[in-house]
Amino acid sequence: MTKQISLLFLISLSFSALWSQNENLNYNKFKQLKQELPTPNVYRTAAGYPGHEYYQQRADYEMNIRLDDESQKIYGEETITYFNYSPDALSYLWIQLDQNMRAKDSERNALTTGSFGSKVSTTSFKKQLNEFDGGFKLEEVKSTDGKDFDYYINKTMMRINLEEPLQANDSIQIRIKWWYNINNRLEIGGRSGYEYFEEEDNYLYTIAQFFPRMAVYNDVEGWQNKQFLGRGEFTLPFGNYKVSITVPADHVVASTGELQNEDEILSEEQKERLEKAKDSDQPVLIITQKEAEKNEKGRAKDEQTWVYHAKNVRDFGFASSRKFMWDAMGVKFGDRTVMAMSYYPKEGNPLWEDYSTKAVAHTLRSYSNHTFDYPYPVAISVNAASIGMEYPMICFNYGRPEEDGTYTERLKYGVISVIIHEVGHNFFPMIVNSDERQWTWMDEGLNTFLQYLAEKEWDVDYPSRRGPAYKIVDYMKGDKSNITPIMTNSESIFQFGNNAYGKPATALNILRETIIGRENFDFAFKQYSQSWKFKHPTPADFFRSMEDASGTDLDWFWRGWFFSTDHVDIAIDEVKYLHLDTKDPDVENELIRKEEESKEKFIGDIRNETSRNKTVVELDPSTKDFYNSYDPLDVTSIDRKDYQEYLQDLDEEEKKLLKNKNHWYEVKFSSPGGLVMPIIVEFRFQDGSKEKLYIPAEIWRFNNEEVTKLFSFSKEVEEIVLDPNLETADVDRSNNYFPERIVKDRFELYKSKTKSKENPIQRSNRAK
Amino acid sequence: MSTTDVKYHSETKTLQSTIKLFTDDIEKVINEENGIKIFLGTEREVKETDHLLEKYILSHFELKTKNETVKLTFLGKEVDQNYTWIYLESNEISSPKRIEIINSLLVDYFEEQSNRVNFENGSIKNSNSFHKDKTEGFIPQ
Ligand SMILES: [Zn+2]
Repeated sequence: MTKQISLLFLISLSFSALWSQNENLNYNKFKQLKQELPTPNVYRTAAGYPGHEYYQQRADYEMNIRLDDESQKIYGEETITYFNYSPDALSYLWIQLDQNMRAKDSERNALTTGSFGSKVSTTSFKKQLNEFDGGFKLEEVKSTDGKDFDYYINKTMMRINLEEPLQANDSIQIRIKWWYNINNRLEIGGRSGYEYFEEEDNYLYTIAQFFPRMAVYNDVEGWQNKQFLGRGEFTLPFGNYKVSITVPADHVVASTGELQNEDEILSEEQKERLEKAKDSDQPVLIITQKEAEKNEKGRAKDEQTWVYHAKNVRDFGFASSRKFMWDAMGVKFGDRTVMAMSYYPKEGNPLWEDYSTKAVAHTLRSYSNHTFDYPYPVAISVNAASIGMEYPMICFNYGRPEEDGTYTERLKYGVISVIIHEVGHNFFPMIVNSDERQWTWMDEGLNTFLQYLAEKEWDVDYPSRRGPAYKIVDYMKGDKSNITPIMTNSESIFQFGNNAYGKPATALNILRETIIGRENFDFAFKQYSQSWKFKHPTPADFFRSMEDASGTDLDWFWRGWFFSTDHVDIAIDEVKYLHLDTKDPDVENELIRKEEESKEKFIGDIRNETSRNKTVVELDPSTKDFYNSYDPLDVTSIDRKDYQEYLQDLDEEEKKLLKNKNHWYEVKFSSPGGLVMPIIVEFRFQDGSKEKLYIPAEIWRFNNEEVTKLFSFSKEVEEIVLDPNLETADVDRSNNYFPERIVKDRFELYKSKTKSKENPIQRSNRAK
Repeated sequence: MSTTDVKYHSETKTLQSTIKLFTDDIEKVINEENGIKIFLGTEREVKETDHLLEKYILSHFELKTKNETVKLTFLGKEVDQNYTWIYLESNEISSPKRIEIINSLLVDYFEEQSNRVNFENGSIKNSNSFHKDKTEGFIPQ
């Protein structure tokens, strides 16, 4: 797979010489994707669904975790039970040690290309220096009967060398004891770590990727043991977790899973509030701001253990702090109640108590509508400065208002968006478990697409950053040496956000709005989501199932949008007008007359009309004869009779055509952008009416560069506009109009506007 | 990512530049560079915002024709939820066939920052892209 991609990459990037040397090969943009996609098999079908011998591994975890708030260290003892459901005997196992990315000798540090610009901010300087002693300190890797395993550590990956291969349908247990120094997220970065509140000397921990985790073994990658360099996130096998988390007694823990020892941990009042929250349509505070502010002043010396169980999850994360407020609200799925909850320090208010849990609840409802009912018992949003990061049932999101309690509109929507996005990740990739280390777009792209739908369901005027076709234009028309196809490995992508989030989300939106249509798209997308729920899909599975379920050949679409860096630019090159002779003298003669009247006139004739002496013919009427009053365009009864006879010889079809469609336009379109798309063309008529026509992309199948098509109307066309509703991401609209339209640029508009020198706020203030 | 359209206007004999940036990004950089919060595009926007923007933009965006730096004037800005547009205009110059650009906007703060510049003068329509390892170049290249 990887090799094929890199070949394609070469072709699409440059070397026109390659093209001419190989011009006898098929480069048609409608060529099927048979060579790019792997051959279907018993594990994955040609329809894009799990095959009859599809399998996946399973890893269960029992862990005792202790968080040391004094020294910001975390200690763990875990027992992994690994089930080999593959048909293969495994002579070694791979375990991920993501924390080793923060080890001093990590590959990530070696691979970071750095250069000093004119100015280096202190944060990036600290990041480059990396004095932090991070990484796992492994104390034990043993079997359950106490024997040491033979293992080898390859940076962020650990290989356990088994004495006897693990046979198909057998399982094995591994005990690992470890600890590590927790990183200060705001100083040296990271998806997990701690935030330090200096004034009150308090910590807020968001802990994830914190324990040695089994890598995925499957039919596609074998072991997914690609190094963690910091960008390609994770894929992990599903399993059940039993986790005990020991923290200072005044800490509040938010975690993946369900709390098992409520009675030990929560007060009667908190339990009552939680119960009330289940049936409330507004968030109910379990820990109020007042209680949290009191709590954060304490420094408990004793500890408390929170026990969480989680079923069928691919990972586990938690947050802990004595600063947390906590609110919750039930979301109903049939007779099942899912608890939408938020944990946040007072610094998150007022924004967080107003929006976080409501955004969580909305996300669960909206995403469930487009995929499947959210299957887990809780969904949690935790306030953490400056990040957005997702784990099963829990995510860490940014958003802090000003100290005076005000916040900007941008921050408000930023917070709602990040919560929708990160809670949305429960669906992709936490449940539809694609391989992020290989393909970032499979979760970020799909999730950003659903995020856009959820935002528009929150508020039709929602200021979404990504989704609509026209918003990807700047990126698509950019310098191709700085763009990679979507189908590029996560670690080698240029312009990560546009490539893995924006472009795939836009492509799906275009599929839904323009190519397949909403109803058919939604059906196909649900089929994909539901079939791969709690499984591991690949890009080919997605491409195939969307085609198979919608009954649409989309190979050209995937090829253009996902395998190439082509952009959309469709142009009107030429328009020819053809008038069909109806032979009706009353119609045709009138047209000729009009045409003659509209012809340019000779200057002498114009002047003679007003200033001249009387002519001989005017002065002497006897010089006139038949020809002086004969008008060849006058319609005679004989002309009409001839026409009636002509009509009698025509069949009904021909008669109709003559009557209704006598204005013909031959339009030549070209596609200089290279990405073939439907031609959406609107004809605007003189009487103000318009007609929008949709010509499927397949019109380009014989000639990918240029096509000519005839259109006929009963009325004369005044203007032709390509893509009038901005649905194709056409990067250059200056060639979308006939007659050519001078598009006023932003600069000119601004200049003419600023003559008044007033912004909207000033204007509205003046109006008060 | 940012996009700049530079257009030579034959009536005014000036180069008109429109720079489009993500509002969050430019706000963050202005805040960090100056150690204050400017609240860009909001009711609380601080008075010196335009001045700080001007200072930052003009020290990270430069145009040259025939090896000579073109004097640019900061006309103003527009801000919406997602984007900020900056408007710059040059003094009168003769119609350029090729321009040189120095563009290091935001690259010190965002590893991935990519700055595209489109140049248009009559039938000349061309572009170039800049990033942290390439902050200077010509259009047409
Ligand atoms: Zn994401």
